[in-house]
Amino acid sequence: MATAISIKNVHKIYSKGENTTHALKDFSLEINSGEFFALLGPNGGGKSTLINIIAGPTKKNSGTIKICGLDIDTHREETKFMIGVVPQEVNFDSFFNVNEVLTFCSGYYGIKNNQNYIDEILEKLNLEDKKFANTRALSGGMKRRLLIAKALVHKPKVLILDEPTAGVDVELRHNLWVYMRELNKAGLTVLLTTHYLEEAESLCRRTAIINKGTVVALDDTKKLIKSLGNYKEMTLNFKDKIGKIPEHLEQFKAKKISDYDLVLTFEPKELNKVLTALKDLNPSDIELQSQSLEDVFLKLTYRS
Amino acid sequence: MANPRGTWTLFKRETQRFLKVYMQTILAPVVNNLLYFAVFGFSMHKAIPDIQGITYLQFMVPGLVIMGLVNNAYQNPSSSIILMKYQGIIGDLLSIPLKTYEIFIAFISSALLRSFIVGLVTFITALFFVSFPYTSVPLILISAFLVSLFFSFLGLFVGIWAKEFDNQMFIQTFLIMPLTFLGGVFYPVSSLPGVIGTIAKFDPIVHMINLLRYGFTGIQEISISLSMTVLVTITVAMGIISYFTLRSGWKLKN
Repeated sequence: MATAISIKNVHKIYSKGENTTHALKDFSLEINSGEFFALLGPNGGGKSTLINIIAGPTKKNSGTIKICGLDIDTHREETKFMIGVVPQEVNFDSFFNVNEVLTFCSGYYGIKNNQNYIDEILEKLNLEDKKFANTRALSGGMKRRLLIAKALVHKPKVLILDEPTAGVDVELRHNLWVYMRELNKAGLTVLLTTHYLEEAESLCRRTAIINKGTVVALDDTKKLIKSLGNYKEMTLNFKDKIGKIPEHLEQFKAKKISDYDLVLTFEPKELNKVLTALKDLNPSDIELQSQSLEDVFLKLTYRS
Repeated sequence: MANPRGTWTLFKRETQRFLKVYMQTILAPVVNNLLYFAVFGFSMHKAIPDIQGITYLQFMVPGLVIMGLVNNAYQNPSSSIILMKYQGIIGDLLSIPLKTYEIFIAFISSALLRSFIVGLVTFITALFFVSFPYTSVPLILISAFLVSLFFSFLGLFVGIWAKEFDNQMFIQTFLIMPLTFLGGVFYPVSSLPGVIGTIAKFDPIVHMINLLRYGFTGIQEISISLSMTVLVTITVAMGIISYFTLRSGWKLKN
């Protein structure tokens, strides 16, 4: 499979006076063409630095980055044509309306008469009624969607989304992901950073977790989640107060989390045994949970 | 891989930006100049004797044209880049597929256009009040071009360097404005006494006004070849400085 983004041994050090911050330490990562890839990490972990190096505003100290086989140092403009970047910080060009901004963006990439595609993007991003609105008049969520439109207007091969759904409401976020999946199916490689870990879990086949400038985990997203151990958690809710935990539930590491709720932890193959053990308990509600990407993320970042 | 459409688009963006606020960018300088005509041209010119055989109004207009060229060529790229920093869209400028020379051409061309528009409108306004012998039209055009080019380069450099509008205003108020007013817009530099007169000859704007005034009226205070040499030299030097500053990413890239 061809490689869309190849990052090898990248270092980035920020220096201000005597203070130096090693934002990226020998960072390496490969993302295949057509992948929907998640890059997760805590604030200050190095995600945005990496994205800004790929996009242009930040210079790396050493290392190599290639986009679709072309080195960004020796083929700077060619690689810029191939990528679309949605920055984390919301920005807007207050002199122009939405359509003018997108027409300029098309022109920067050498595209003339791009109105049909601009209209299509605006419709997909639910911005069609704001086409002639000044960018100043847009809400935070609309401005963020405009950034996505700007990144897509030249039909890039690789789309880099740096926390694109912050401030976007649930329905619009859902629509956005439907659109991103559609573009991904059509061949667009997507690199996503997000704080909504469930988004990464549902959208991305592979995930890397970055902390303090290095990759601390990289795997198939499902495998990564299971790396904590393949177990399920069942929360049982009772109408009456729970007294002593029944002895036969101890094998499932039963734990009281409130006077009315009990949590059991077990492996999937033990499900029948659990159900049998619950026969005489009559819980009023049952909730079954698997490990989430959030558990992995917390384990690898905040506890490290 | 050249990107002429991208360059043209950035030029269009820069130009439409200043045209959207034409009251501030085009009309305000013209109104300022009309006030100068009113105050100096009509109220005071009768009290001021002719200078080297031309009226005071004829003497003053080339200086006013220079002021229009200088301020607008300087302000266009500097304001635009500082605003980009404020609005967070400077990252866009660094992410679009344009080479340094293409960004440079787009910013400088737009600054030249704004400068020419204001210079031309000032000149046309002046024609309602005064006429000129036009000693050398090519010299007028070349000088106006070089003056605008020099201050476009300076504006680009200041835009890159400046963190905020205060920095831009600092250069305008404490450097450009004094050099312009001491540069002989309103009086002959040769009338300055002793040392001040000698120092004034190091003011590049003296040479700029000298060239344009000679083109319009035929009078010169310094030799035309010296003034042209100074103007060409400082323009080339400023061009090199601002181009390589842009290319280095200084104050723009992390």
